[in-house]
Amino acid sequence: MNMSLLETNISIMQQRSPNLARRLISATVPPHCAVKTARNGMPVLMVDKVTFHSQYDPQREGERIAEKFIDDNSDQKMDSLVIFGLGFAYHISPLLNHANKITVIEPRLEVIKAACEHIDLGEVLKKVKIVTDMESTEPGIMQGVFLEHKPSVAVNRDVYEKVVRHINHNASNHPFDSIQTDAFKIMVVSPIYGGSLPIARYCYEALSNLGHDVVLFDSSMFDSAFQKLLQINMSNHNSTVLHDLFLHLISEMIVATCVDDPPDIVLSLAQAPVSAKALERLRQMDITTAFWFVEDYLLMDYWQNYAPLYDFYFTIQDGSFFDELKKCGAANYYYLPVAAAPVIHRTFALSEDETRSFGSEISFIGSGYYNREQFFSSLLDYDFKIWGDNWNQNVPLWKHVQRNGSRITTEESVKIFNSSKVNINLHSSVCHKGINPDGDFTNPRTFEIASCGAFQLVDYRSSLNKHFSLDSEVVCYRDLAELRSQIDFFLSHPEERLNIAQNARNRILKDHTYEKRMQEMIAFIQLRKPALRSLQQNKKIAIHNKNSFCEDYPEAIETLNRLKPEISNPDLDSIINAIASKQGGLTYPDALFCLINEFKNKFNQVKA
Amino acid sequence: MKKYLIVCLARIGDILQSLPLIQLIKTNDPDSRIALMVNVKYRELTALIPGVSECYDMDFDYLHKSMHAEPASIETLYGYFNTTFSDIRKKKYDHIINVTPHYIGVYAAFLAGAEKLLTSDRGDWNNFYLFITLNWQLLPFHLSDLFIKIAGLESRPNRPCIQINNQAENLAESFLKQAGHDRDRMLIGLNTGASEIEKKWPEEYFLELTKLLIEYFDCTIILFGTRADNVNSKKFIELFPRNIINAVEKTSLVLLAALIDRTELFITNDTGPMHLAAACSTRIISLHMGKETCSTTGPYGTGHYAVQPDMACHPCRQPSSCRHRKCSFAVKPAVIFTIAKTIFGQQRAGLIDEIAPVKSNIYSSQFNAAGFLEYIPSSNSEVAISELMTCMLRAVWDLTLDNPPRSRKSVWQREIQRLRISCEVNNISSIYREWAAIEIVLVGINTLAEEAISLLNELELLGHKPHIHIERLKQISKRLETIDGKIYAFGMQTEYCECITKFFMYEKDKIESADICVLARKTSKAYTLLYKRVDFLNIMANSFFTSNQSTAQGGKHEYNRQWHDSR
Repeated sequence: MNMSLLETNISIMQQRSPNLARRLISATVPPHCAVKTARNGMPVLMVDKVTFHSQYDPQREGERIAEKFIDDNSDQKMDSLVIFGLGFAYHISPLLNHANKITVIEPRLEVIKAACEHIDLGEVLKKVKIVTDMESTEPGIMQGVFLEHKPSVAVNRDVYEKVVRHINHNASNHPFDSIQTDAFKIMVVSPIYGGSLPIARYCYEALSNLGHDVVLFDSSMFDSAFQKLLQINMSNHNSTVLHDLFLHLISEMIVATCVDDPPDIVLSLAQAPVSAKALERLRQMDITTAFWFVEDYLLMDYWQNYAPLYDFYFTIQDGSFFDELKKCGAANYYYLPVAAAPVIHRTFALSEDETRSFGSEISFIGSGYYNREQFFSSLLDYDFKIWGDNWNQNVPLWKHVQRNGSRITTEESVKIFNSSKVNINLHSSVCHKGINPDGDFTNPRTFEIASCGAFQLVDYRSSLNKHFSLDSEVVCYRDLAELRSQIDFFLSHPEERLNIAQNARNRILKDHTYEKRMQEMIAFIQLRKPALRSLQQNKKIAIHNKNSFCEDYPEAIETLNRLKPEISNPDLDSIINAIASKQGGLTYPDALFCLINEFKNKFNQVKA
Repeated sequence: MKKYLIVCLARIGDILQSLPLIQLIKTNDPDSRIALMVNVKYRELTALIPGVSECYDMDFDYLHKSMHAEPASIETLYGYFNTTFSDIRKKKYDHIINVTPHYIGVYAAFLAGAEKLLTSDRGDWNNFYLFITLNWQLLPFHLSDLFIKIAGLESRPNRPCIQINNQAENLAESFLKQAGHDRDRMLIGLNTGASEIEKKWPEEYFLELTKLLIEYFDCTIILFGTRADNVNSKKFIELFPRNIINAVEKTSLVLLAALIDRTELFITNDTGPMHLAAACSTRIISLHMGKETCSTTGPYGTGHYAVQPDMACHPCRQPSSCRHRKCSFAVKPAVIFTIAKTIFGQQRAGLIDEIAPVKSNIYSSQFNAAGFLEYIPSSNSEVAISELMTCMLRAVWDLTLDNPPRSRKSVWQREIQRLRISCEVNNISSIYREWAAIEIVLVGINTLAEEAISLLNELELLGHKPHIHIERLKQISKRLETIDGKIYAFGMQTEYCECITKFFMYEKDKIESADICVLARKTSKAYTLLYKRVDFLNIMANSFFTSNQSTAQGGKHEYNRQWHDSR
């Protein structure tokens, strides 16, 4: 330790950040912050076994980081810089003359102290504002071009994410809204049947709308075969074996599809038939795997085996579920509630016949869970239509169940939402007589009814106020008496109903579409896995300057003219497609492009 | 003086398999100048090849890096190729021959000036080669012979050779001296590595064989291979410290050739060094597993032995998906040891027949009357339908792909007769039963081909009329579609018709024309060729089965005598 360095640095800091300087004096450098000597004799910091700078030549490395940063942001005004991570400031010194204002976010006091002890920070401290806690900073200080010091990010992941959210916060509740993500090739894997099947399709649509190259592996195509399998009379053991074999086959098909045309990310929805072995194979192929568990973790426990196998695990519950996920070894989990698809869940003008058929004063769509059967038995004095399957036929409630309890399609449900004066929404439970008082997550129906511009009364859930303003966007009930009084009130106050429903729809359009969710999901993946670059992007071989290429190789103009003129950087695939679709024999430049393409294929084969 | 360019952008083995072609060009035209285009990694090898006056190289590593750079720019790659091929085009080569087994070679040859290579829809050897690169298992020739045919030359008995200069010989001498090799001791080379796992004979088998060879011959074993082959030379040295010379990963290509040249026997998997040994005139015992077969890629030249697993699944069609790799374990070390003893005269020749190797087939190389290299079964096995069909298919391709066509029917008739006289009566009946099933397929194909030809003639006539009869045109095209489906289905019924059917489909798919009459005429030609090929098969089979019975019986003994004398 060099005391005179520390004293000099702290005295400079006192002029600019007296509070920080004061805190530093009393701070200590704990043993997990080690200082090593690089080959060129310069000190290098190591925190929690993460080396902060090159152990050969940290100064040269810092210069390279700065050069690349300047180069990458050559199109931006460098007035202000925000740098995450102080380290030993090797990456900061070369940038001092490139911006008027530099803010460095360094959450660890011990790092600042170690830097003050070992590095002459005189020039840095004169120019740079160091903050440890962005909550207490003055407004505007976080504005500027952003540079992340990767080792600092690695040891301060949580703070880093908070900073990114803070920087990108733009009056939205969604921290990742404004983050630009790369376009990826994504495979969405749906379950064979069940509630998350339509969600898989909404994800597919949303990701496509966001500009990703998406394929849907629609496992529902095996539904009829699977149902047949379940109908065959056989012993339990045989049934399990066949069931497993069937799921294994689908799982292998998913892997085979990925082998033929590897995506960057495979996103599986709850109950998707992706086996542990398949996940291992995908991992070997360097494909990122993500799972959206849109189910109640207390009811479904298969997540325990699968969560650690996925690279990313998205959930509709947080709190204690996160503790469980951490315990079982899941690496990256993130709270991502479900949403609505406004193109499908829309306001709808029904014909008179349809209104007669689908409409009622109050209605409910969903399966006949125990709590619903119990609870709804007390609402039979209303004009109450119940839609959905698995309802008990031997109770008075059955008279209210429509179409003999057959399944309701999405389109029909939209008609029902639109034609019911009050849509009752009661989250399912197998162990409560009515409302689950500890219910946390919000079900898809809440978002879907709201998206339809329909009015709903929903049982209270602890997450509801994260998504909606209670009373002005959705109205909650906590017990049967409250529900009955609300039904009575809103049936007699249609304008109130309409206002609340309209507010709810506006909120959906603003915050709760699947596009928003998918944007958030991909941004989180990219944030946690910055090395994830689109495989497809990596493979792209393109002409980077078409004009100068045509000047250098005028013979190639005819070939390139077959492409759309607005393509300024044609890639090899589009050139090859244009050549393949032309009439007549190959020209010299055609063959040259084809040769490049053959080499590309050969090298990719070798890699495979 | 004619200038030849041979485009061989594949691996060492492929370059070495073009040696017979290079030698033949030189024999036919001693003044010719031959240039090779190879991967820069193998440039060193071209210096050993007599008759090659120039070499162009392509830097695969540079191309790989450029393609995986971020960002990867077409500018760099286009510039690289443009410079390379502009220089080559200036030389104006009279003959450009592509022997690269993928489209890289086709486009490279095109860019070098062979512009007809891609536009030809005529069924010739070039097209056949392009087709074969997608269907290797259907090739009935040795690759070296196919290269010769692609160049438009006539195969003839030929032994590949390379020139090892004094410097290389001295290098080899000092290498062996340093390793303590006693010149009086027999030197046997073992090449235990291979580029693909399915080509590898198990290491423990090589160890067992080494033990047998050392105990019997008191020889020195020199081990070849690269680290990439995962050759564990340590084990060999630990077990036989006095008798092992370790050359794994210690040789350049030139030194490798010079060392192999010093060995008296080279035992090897199907690899580049195997072809190098063939070019050094070293006696070889080669092992062909996985998708490899000696008939297509065995050592070129006479007198080599090749061993293959006798398994229904060999040659493997999907080596990468095979989980058991039983073929690697099928050939036992004792079989190779017996062949080695036979080669050195320590065993009477007939013993190979007597050891009746379980799960392995032993072949020996010789040239047939048509000048093609063949691997003939050495063990006591009767002529099988596969041999008859391979012989007949060779004849079919030789008679229908040459351009201009050469009449070599009599040559092939002789070959068929040769097979015929080596057959017992019982054997003939069993072959006939199998042939009968094939014949049904062939008759079916030809009936369909005849119908297609007649429909296409009608189509051509329709095309000449001022007003096209659209309805009839639609009917014909629909019927032709059905016929093609049926032909394909027939063809796939037996592996022996697969090649003819698939090649017909391949050729037909390449036909293009905006003029309906031209299109009909060209397509009709494709069906006619199909008909002709099937017909040839029938004629040859007829000649095989109707030969004089007594000749056959008496011939067996005569054939065996000639066979053993030829060694």
